[in-house]
Amino acid sequence: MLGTAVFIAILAAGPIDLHAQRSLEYEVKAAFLYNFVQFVEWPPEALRAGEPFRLCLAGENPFAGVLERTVAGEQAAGRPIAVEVLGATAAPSLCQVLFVPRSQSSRTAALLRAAGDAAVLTVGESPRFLDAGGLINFVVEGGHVRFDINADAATARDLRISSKLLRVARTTGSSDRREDR
Amino acid sequence: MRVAMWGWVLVMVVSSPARAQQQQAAANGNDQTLKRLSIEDLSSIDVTSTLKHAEPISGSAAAIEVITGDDIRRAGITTLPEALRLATGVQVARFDGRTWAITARGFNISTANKLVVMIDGRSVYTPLFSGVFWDVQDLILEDVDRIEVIRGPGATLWGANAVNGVINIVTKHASQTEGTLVQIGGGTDLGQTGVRYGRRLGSDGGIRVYGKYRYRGSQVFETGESAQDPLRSGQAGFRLDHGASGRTLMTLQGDIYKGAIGIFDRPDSDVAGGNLLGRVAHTFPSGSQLQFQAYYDGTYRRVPRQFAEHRDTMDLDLQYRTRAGSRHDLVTGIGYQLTHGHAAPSPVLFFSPETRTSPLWNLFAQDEITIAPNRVAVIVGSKFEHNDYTGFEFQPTVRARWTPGGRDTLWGAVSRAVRMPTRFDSDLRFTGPAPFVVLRGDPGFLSETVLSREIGYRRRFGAAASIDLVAFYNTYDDLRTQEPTLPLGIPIVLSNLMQARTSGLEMSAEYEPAATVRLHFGYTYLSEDFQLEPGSRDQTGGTSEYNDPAHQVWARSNVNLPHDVEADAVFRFVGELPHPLVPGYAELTLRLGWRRGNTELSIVGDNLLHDHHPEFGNLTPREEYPRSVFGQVTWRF
Repeated sequence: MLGTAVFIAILAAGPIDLHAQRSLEYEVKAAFLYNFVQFVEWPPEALRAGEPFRLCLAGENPFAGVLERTVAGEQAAGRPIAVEVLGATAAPSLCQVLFVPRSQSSRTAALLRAAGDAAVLTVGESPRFLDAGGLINFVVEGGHVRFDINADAATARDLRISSKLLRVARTTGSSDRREDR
Repeated sequence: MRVAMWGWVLVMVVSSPARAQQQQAAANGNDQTLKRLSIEDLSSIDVTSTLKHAEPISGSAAAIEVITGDDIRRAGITTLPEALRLATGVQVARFDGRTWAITARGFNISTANKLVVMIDGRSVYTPLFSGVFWDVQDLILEDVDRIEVIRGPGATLWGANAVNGVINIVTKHASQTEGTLVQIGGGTDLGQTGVRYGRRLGSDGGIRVYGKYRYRGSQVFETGESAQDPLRSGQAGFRLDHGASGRTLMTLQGDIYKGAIGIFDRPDSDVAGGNLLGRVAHTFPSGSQLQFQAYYDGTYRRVPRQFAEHRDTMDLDLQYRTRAGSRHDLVTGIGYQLTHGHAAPSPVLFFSPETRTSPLWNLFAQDEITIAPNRVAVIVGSKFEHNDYTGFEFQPTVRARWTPGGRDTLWGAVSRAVRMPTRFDSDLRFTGPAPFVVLRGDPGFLSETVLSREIGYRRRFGAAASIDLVAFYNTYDDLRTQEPTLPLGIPIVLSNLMQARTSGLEMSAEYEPAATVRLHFGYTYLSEDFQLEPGSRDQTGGTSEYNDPAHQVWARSNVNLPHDVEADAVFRFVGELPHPLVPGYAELTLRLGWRRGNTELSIVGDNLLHDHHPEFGNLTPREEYPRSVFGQVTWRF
C-alpha cells in the first residue's frame, strides 16, 4: 500500500518530457557501429589513400559525443576513424558508413539514392529501412537493441559481412520481416 | 529410522506418499567498456529497464551465467527444470516423476530451500517451505528469452532465501512473438502440444496468448515396475506489452493451470493455480528510472490422505534508480508481500495454526561507486527485511570490480544472506500413523544464515572464446537440525543447531572455432563440512539437509550443418551423492534438428548412456530414469 502511495507521489512529481533521452540506447548503438566496422570488409577501391575511414551521420548527431568517444583512437581498415555529420548537400558515396538517424527517416530514400551502388554500409533505425535499400537496420525489441541485415544488398555493393555478424542478426533477408528466433 | 524420518516428512508434502510410506553497471554510460563487448553481449543489454537487470554479463561482479532461449531449443529440452541442467554450477536431480531437487553450491534435498526462483519478476518458490514445486512451473519454452542464473547470495537485491543463488526466468517481450506457433511433440516418455498466437500492438507493443497441454508417462522403480505416476497438465496464459522503446513501459501478464499426477494406491493428486502481474517502468529525462510491479499468485495442491494447501500471495514492489554525480549509481526499493496459506489437516500431518497470514516488508539500497572510470567500481548495499517469524533481518553485500582494458574482469564479494523460517520450520506437526505428534516445527525457529566470500575472473579471447572462473568460501550458521525431546526422544523438534563450511571452484568456458560451431564447457568442485553444535542430539547428523556431488561436469556442442541441419550434443557428469548413496553418472543427450521455412523438425535422444539410472532419492524403491526418444514438429506462420 505504501509502495503504491510512494509510486504515485514520485510519478506525479516527475516532469513529463516527451523528448526521449535514450542515452543508453545510443551508447549501445555506438558500440554496435564500432563492432559493425570490425566485422565488415570494404573493397580496396572504396578506400582512398591518405583519407580517414569516414563514419558519417546523416543530418544530425543523435549520439551526443558517445560515438566520437567510442571510436577515438581506434582504426578501421588500417586507418583512423572520423565521425562526420553530413549536411543536406554532401555526397554520402564518399562515406564508408552512413548512419541515418530516426529523425532523418523521411530522407531515407533520397540518401540511399545518393549513395547509389557505392560500397557504403548504410545503417538505419526506422521501419522499412531495409525495404528502401538500406543494409543494416536497428530495432529495439523487448528492451534490447537488435538489428536486421540485408545480406544480398551488401553483397551487391562488394561489402563482405562476416558470418558472425549475420548469425547475431535478427534476420538476414531482404526486408524488415519478423521471425521468431 | 530417525535418519529417514525427516526425509519422509519432506516427501510427504512434496511428493506422492506411497513410496514415502514404503520408505548494467558497465552499461551505464561507459562507452569504453561497451565497445569491448561482443555483439552477443551488446544484444543482451536491456536498454530500457535497467533496474535489477542492468549489466552485461561480462562486466558483472557476481557469478552469473545466462542460458538463452536458443540454448534451450538446441538442447532438446522440454521442461524448465531440465533447462537448468545447462547452467554451470546448478545441481539438478530428478527425485520422482513430479519432484526435482535443484540447488547451487550445495544443500540439495527434495525440498531444497536456498534459491530464489522467479518467472518474469514473480517469485515461484513457495513460502510454505521456500522451495519450488517444479511440477507446476511450465511455459511454452519457445517463449523463454533467457534464464539468468546467479550463483551465490543475491539477497541484497532479491531478498531472503537468495542464500545460494537466484534463478531468473525471463520470457520474450510480446512484440517478439508475433504470429502463430503450433508445436506438437511426442516420444517414449512425453507428449505435449502448445499453441501460441501473437500480434503487434502499435509500433512497439504486442500481445500473445498461449495454451499448452502436456502428458508425461509413468516413471519406473529400480525394480523395473511402473511407478504409476503419470502427469497431465494444461496451462494457458497471456502477455501484453506496451512501449518497447518508449519512456514508459507497461507489462501485464498472467497464467492459469490445472494438473493431476497419479499415485498408485489412491486418487490422483491435484494441482491448480493462477497469477496476474502488472509492471510499469518509467524513465525520466534525467535518466532516472522508476519501476512499480504488483502481482497476485494463487496455488492449490492436494495429495489425498496426506496434504492439501491453498495459498494466496500478493506482492508489491517499487524500485528507483538514479545517478548521483558522476560516481554514484544508486538503486533503492521497497517491497511488501502478504501471503495467506491454509493447510487442511490430514491423517498424517497438520499445521498449527491451520491458517497463517504472513506479511513481509523489505527496504533495500545499493550504490555502485565508480572509483576509477571504466576500471574500478565498488558496490555496497543492504536489504532490510521484516518477516513474521524472526522480525528484522539485514542482508548486506560489498562487491568490487576491476576491469583493466575491458577484456578482463576481476571481481570479489562478501555478502550475508538468510533463509527465513517457513511454515515447515515453525508450524508443521507430523503424526504419521501415531495418535500423537512425533515431529514438530518450532515457533522459535531462527533464520539460517550464510556469510559468503567470492572471487571471480572473466576473460574474453577475441570474439570467439571466453572463460569464467569463480572460487567461494561460505560459512553457514543456525542450520536446521532435528532434536529429540528427552527422555523418550519424542517429539523430535526442529531446531538450529548446525554449522557448515563449504568451499568450491566453478569454471566455465565458451569457444566458437567457426561461425557454425559453438562449444560450452563447465566444471565445479564442492567441498562441504557440516558440524553439529554442542548440545545437539540430532540422530541424523544433519544429513537430511544436503546430499551433494563433489564434482560436476558440463559439456555441450551446437553445430550447424549444411542444408539447415542442426546437430547438438549435451553431456553431463554428476559425481556420487553420499547419503543416501547415489552412484555418480555420466549422461548424454543428442539432438538433430532441421529448419526450413516455417517448419522445424527435431528428434532428441535422452539418457543415452544407460538403460536407466537414478539421480537422487531417499525413496525405497527409488525411481530411475530410462533412455528416451522424443520427436517434435514446430510450425510458425
